[in-house]
Amino acid sequence: MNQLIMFLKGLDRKILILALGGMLLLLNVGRLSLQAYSNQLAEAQEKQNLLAQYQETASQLPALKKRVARLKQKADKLEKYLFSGTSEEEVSSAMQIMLQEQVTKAGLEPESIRPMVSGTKTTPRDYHEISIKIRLSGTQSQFVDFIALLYRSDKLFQVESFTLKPYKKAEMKIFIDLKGFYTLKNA
Amino acid sequence: MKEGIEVLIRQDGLHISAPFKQEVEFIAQPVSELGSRLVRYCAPKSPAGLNVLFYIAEDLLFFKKFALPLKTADLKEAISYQLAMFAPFDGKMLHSFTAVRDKQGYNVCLYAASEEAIVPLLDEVTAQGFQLAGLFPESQRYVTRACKKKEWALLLPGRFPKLAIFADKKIKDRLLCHNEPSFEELTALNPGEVIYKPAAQEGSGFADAGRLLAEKALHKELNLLPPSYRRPDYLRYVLIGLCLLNLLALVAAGTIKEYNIITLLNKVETEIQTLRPDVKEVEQLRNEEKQLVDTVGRIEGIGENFDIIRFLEKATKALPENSYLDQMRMDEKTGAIQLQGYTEDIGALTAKLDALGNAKLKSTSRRKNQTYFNVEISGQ
Repeated sequence: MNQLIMFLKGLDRKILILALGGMLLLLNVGRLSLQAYSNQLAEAQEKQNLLAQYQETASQLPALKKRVARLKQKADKLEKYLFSGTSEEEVSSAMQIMLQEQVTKAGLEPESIRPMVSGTKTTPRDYHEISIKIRLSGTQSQFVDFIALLYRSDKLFQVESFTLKPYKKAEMKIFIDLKGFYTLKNA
Repeated sequence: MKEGIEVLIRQDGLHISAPFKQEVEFIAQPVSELGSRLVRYCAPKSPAGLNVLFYIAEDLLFFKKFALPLKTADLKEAISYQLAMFAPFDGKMLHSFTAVRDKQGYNVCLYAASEEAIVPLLDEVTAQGFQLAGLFPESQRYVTRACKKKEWALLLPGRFPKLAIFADKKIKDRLLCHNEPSFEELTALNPGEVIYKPAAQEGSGFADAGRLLAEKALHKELNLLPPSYRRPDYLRYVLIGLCLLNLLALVAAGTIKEYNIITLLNKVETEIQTLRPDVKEVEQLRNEEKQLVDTVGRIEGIGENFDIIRFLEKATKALPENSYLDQMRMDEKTGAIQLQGYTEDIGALTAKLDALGNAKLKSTSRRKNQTYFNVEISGQ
């Protein structure tokens, strides 16, 4: 230790400080270089992980395309059973016309066919519903024919409730609550 | 490593010795044709493969110890200026010095010799193809590893004996004695742990300087050889070259690593950019798939209609004769069907209720010779 102190004392102070400064500079440069290198390594690792994720995701593309195509076909097929129009009023009118035709075809006497247009779109769904209240009179056979026509039609109606009451001698009063379904198209 | 010849220049002549020759040759003054004499001495060895190391006897050298202030900017320049004032030689001089820094200043030990007496010898030697290894004061012959880390002194005989005082491998001072000093006299000066003397007698107190000569001289300082005669310091160049090579290797290794990682990053980035549209498409398709699944699920979840026709058929068959319906009603919330009417035979009606499914007779009442009933059929 004494010899080291003697040696250091023997050195020129300026040279000693310069050497020390140079050494510290070199160490700092080394430290910064190592840090930068390790950062780059981490970045490379992160990007490689991202690439692996991307490759896995991209490999699912053909199968996903097929699934979506099948679902589109199915959805198109199902949507054919729904009414479609640019507004609720237009759709309710179409429903009313169709029901009127079927009632007439079955031979029933229509007293009222009343769609319950709400005018509000409360649900953000891709299809909507309209409730329709129907009052009719006729025979049981005519009612059965009407139901058969309704069920066979290419548009979907759901019978929510119905009430049958005797009327005159061989007829009956018929009250039906229906639900019709539709999709809105852009005008 | 080349073999060497040692030439000691003394007042009376030159002493030539070499490790590969047992005999020592003496050439008395005035010396002439030193080069050719050396060739003969070394024969059959070729001069090109030999180094010649000159030592100058301390008698021929001027020594001066002095101090220079710490502020001295250039020691070499300052000593060169003062040399002419100090040295007792006319004309050009060969000189060399050591400087040790302490708190007060630089302690300088200066050796100088007249160029006139030395340089012709050097020229003769180099003219024969010998390589000059150095020109040192005689005392430097004794500076070896053996005297490492200690304070010591060397008494060299001559016209005026000289006591060279060393600390480790550095000369601290040289004292001139007017007569041969005794060991006790020198010890009183406290020159160091050991005092060496060439051919010291046992019991005299001096250590034999021959022990120091057994090892190779270090020749770290006080080389008086003029720069034009000095060989390039190949070891120094090799060391600098190696350092540069190492630095270059370090930089190259760093550059290669950096290049590799940048190449990898670029490659990965390119692949990511290539795959990005596919990934975006997958994301869109997944959203679309989710929406479609929801849509299809909701439409499929609307549910089946109640089969009214079949029910009417069953009810017609199931109701006994003389039974009449006042009302048939399907409840919106529960989906249950309520039949209200009257019958003449309630027993027959209840017996046939099972045919209508999960039917419950909710109430009956007897009026006008008829039984009025209320039947609920659930689970339709």
